[in-house]
Amino acid sequence: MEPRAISTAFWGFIGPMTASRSLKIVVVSSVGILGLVLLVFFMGWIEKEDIDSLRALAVVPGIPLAAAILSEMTLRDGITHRTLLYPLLGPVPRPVLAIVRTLATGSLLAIFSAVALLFLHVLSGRGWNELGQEAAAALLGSLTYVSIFGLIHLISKRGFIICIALYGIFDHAIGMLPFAMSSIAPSHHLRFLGAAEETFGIPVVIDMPDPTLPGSILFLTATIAIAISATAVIFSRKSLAELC
Amino acid sequence: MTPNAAATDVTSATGATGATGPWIELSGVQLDRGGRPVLRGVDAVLSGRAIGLVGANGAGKSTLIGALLGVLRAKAGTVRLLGLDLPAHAQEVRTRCGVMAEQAGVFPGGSGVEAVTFAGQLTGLARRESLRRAHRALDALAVGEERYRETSGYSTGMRQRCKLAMSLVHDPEVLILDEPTVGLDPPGRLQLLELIRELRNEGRRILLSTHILHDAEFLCDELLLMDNGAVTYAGPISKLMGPKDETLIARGRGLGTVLAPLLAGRGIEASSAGEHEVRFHSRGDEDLRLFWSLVDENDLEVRKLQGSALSFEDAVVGAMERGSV
Repeated sequence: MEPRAISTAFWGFIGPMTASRSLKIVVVSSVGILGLVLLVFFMGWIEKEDIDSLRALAVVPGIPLAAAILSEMTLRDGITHRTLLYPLLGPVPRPVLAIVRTLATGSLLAIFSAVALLFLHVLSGRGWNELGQEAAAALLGSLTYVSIFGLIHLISKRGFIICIALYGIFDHAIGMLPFAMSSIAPSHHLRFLGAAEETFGIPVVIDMPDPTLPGSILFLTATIAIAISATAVIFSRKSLAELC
Repeated sequence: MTPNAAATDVTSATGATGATGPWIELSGVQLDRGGRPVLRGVDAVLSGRAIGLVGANGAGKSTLIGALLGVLRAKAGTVRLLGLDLPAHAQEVRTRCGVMAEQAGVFPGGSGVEAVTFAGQLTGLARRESLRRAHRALDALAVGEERYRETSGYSTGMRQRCKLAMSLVHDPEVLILDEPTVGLDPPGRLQLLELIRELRNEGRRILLSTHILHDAEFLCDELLLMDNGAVTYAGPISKLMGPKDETLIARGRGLGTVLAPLLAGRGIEASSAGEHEVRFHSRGDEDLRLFWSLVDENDLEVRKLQGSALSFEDAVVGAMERGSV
């Protein structure tokens, strides 16, 4: 990959975003919400346990749901608003554009979620031991869901509905099964990394292996690689403007 | 600001070069898209200040532009722009070309000046420098306070100006304009054409892809006519139009009886068609001057003068039908 093409793809994505009013609104709202949590906590209206539950919710379903919204920015928004042509004429090869934009969106979500998790982690009074694992959850979880949902948004104009359906029906449900089958769901590994493990209260437990740190990291990394590769291939073959 | 005043500013804001010689060289270019041949052996060497790329929808105009920018790879033949082989020198070509693509939008969510700044950054300019040039380009195109408004609220005309500024921000030698006047009302269209003409007059090379023949006639001195992926004409518009001779019909009291023999006596092929009508064959401006001097000398009055010269549209259609290069 040429460095110039990568930087064009990156700045072609980040530049318009930094000027976007909607992003500024999201940032201000996020700071507002965190401030509200802080206020409620110091007023003594919620306990540390509640903050910990909030932290667990920020991991799952927080990260997947945020990814379902944000992943539209990777390629779909550029197709809708017909602005992908600028970096493509850069000229940036299509696979480079797909990879860079997916990684950039995933990293953006990872930063947001890491800050939120750190904030809630500190308030909940959890020890520092799990902090590294939670950072891994923020990074890998964000990249995993952004790459999967970005692919769905690329394929379908109604990507958001499909993302939510896929997450709710398949990923979330299977990930909480008390069977080994749960390990095929990304959310299962994200829960483990984010110390937010939870299973359905079914009185049947069949061969439920404990996830491991290397296993979960490997699973999520492989998922990211597969989803990004598929995005790059499909985007390369997608019919866009006549010009490119 | 009037179009001319705006255009004067364009000159000072952009400072183009004035290279000479062929700047588009295409030889046997074949290009397939989705397994379908789109360009079928395109040959052309063009050196005009402004070149009109004209053809119906699906003729291959946009694909040819893609090849000229090095974004699309030809399966056979050679493509050169500004003497640079493509797609090998695509990066350099991009820094020397500004592209206003019909299919491209304007970055949403931000203001016009931000959109133009990003466009500059995409060509490699630093943000500060790009912002400075963005203001200059927008000034030149007579975009005032509207530049600070969100682009999603822009009219079609303002969006086109913004897109033109985006293509100009890095001060390119060549402007590639893909259907720049589509969707504009007649005054807006004329204003944009005037601005583009001034950009051409100050030395910038222009490739104008259009299906509006008047736009090409207004701006261009050379034409690349395409039909079904092949070139039907490539060369100067003057050559396409042929010699400037035409049959003229003049009507007015006594023109047929008085003027016809006088014109014939001066070597101009003329005949009367009744007492008040004369038909004569003008071979150019000199014959016309003679006609008017005879009208004056004989105190005649011309009520109507009608020409039968080949119009630009007729010439283009004729070339398309002939299908000859």
